[in-house]
Amino acid sequence: MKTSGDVGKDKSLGTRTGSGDVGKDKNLGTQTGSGDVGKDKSQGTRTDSGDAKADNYGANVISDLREKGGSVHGAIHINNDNNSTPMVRVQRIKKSSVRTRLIIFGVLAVMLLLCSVFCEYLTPYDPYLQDLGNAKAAPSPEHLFGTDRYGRDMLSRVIVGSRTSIYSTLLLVAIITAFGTIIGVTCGFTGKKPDAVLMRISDIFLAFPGLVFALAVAGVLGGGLQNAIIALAAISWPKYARIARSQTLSQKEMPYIRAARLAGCSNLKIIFKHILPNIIGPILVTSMLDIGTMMMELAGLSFLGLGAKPPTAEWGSMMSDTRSLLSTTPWVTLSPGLAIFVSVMIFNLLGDTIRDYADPRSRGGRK
Amino acid sequence: MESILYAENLTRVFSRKGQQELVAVDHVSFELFPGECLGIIGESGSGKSTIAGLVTRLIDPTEGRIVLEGRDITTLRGKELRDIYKTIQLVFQTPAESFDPRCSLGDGIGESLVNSGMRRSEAGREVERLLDECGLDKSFAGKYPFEVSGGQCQRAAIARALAIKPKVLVCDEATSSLDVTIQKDIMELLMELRKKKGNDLSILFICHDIALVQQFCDRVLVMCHGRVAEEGIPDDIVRNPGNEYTKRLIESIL
Ligand SMILES: Nc1ncnc2c1ncn2[C@@H]1O[C@H](COP(=O)(O)OP(=O)(O)OP(=O)(O)O)[C@@H](O)[C@H]1O
Ligand SMILES: [Mg+2]
Repeated sequence: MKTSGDVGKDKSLGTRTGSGDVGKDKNLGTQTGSGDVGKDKSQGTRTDSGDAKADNYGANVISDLREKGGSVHGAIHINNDNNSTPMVRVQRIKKSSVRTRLIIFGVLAVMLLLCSVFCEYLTPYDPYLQDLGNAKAAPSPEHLFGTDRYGRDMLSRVIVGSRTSIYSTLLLVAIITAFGTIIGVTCGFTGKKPDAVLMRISDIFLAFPGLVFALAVAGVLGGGLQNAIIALAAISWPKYARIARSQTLSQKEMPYIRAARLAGCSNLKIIFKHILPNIIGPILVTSMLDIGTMMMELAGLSFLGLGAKPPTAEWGSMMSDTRSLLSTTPWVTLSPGLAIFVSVMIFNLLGDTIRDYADPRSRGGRK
Repeated sequence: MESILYAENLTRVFSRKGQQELVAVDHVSFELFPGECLGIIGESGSGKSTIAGLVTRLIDPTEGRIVLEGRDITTLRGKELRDIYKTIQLVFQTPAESFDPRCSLGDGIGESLVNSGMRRSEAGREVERLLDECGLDKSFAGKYPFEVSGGQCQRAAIARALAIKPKVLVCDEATSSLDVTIQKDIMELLMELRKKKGNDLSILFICHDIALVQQFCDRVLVMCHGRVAEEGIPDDIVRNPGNEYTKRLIESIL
């Protein structure tokens, strides 16, 4: 009896706490959202008025205050109103902020790309020129990242390294996306035997622990950037095949695919014109997110000596070569590390943003 | 008169591992004559949409034969199968889902024309004519499926089915997702089409509203659990249903 009573109490308690939490969370969410509106608005006004400060300071203060008052009213209003208004507002904020983020990270990523394309012209010094008289120099205005043990300018080497690191990463991601998608769509669309066979093969690849398998492949094929790319491609394509397959399966039975058949489309045309455009979103998002991961893994393989070989400037191998110097001349090891960190972060954030943007709930119509 | 569409012993069994086999369509035979409108009624799940899929070869029959314009189409594949869609077209039960969300309505309507070799500009003009015929504004050609209402989408779906000038039109509940006034509009549109095309257009009219069938169809099949329960002229069937199931169906509606 006692026990059951206790259970009952516990349950009701649990429920109460639970519902309380939900309520709080909701409120919090709304408040944060509306708070953002207020902040954004007032910030906007302040910046605007900042330009005109010299003209009439007083008027600006008033308008500033008014703006704040307005936002406070807005916040209260939103909290009282439980209809669709707050949701709409929060969504609008989310959408516009997603677009801003998209622009920011997009521009940063494009800058990284440009940097890797034009890296020869951006280096202050020749990245391969040795200057033993000036070896292991600490960062200084002439050499912002210092110099390594042969006196090569680290900043130049990091910039040149972007070519190998970013290029090979993008190449790798492009390969696995294309290959995995082709396999996945083929499996999903044809079904039956080809599907079973190809999916079992991808299972085999998935069964190996990723980096270890890459190590084994790179070990068998020998080191070198090309083999590192092959190794990583071998372990990463099944993920794309799975996504593409499941997406294709879900689209294949849709009435609009049948309608395309009725319109006299061949299978190839159905795949390219109707299925691919409808499934490519989630795949692209995954590949954007994978750019960061693959950059890390390539650098990791290079660090282990299975990727790019010295003297080629590649971030991972640069870190690996100089890791013994970490305690004496840390800048030599840390500057390529910083480059990896920054670019992985930019590509990851870009991937996250694209995922948010591709989410139909954060987008209105498509034109 | 020679029938334009002839189905003989059509059967479709859905089977899945670990589940009981489901006979969705069970030895159904019927004939559709040129210029005729044949109604198919039956409750939900009685296999009407499956029949629509079978006669258009979107679903493969487990058994039976489909003859279109005197030609056996039961086992056609590839190019030959694609060619039957110049003769037979289907209006889907769910018009909104039958348009590719990434293509404009105009592209969807004109797709069959472009696929049959018409130039894009010409197809565009034809699409505008079709939209007009189905009571839609020209501007709908540029709209996307999610931007239009259910009734507008239904009209666009009919326009698409008519684009290639088929001789057989299968309408799978072309009106059931719409409210009564729009339903009347669509029915008027279909009647006008029949009047205009005469013997060049035969309709397989799938529906679960016996009143509509009475107005619109020359003959009707009553489906029950995948079988044909009764066949005849709608008025006769309504007046004296010869079958327990038909009786209940009519009572439930009237
Ligand atoms: N792809 C499928 N796999 C398995 N079972 C199916 C499939 N398609 C239809 N069925 C089954 O076949 C039966 C007939 O379905 P159908 O869609 O033809 O019914 P319907 O008469 O069109 O019904 P409604 O009036 O609701 O549209 C149903 O019991 C359904 O569950
Ligand atoms: Mg149906």
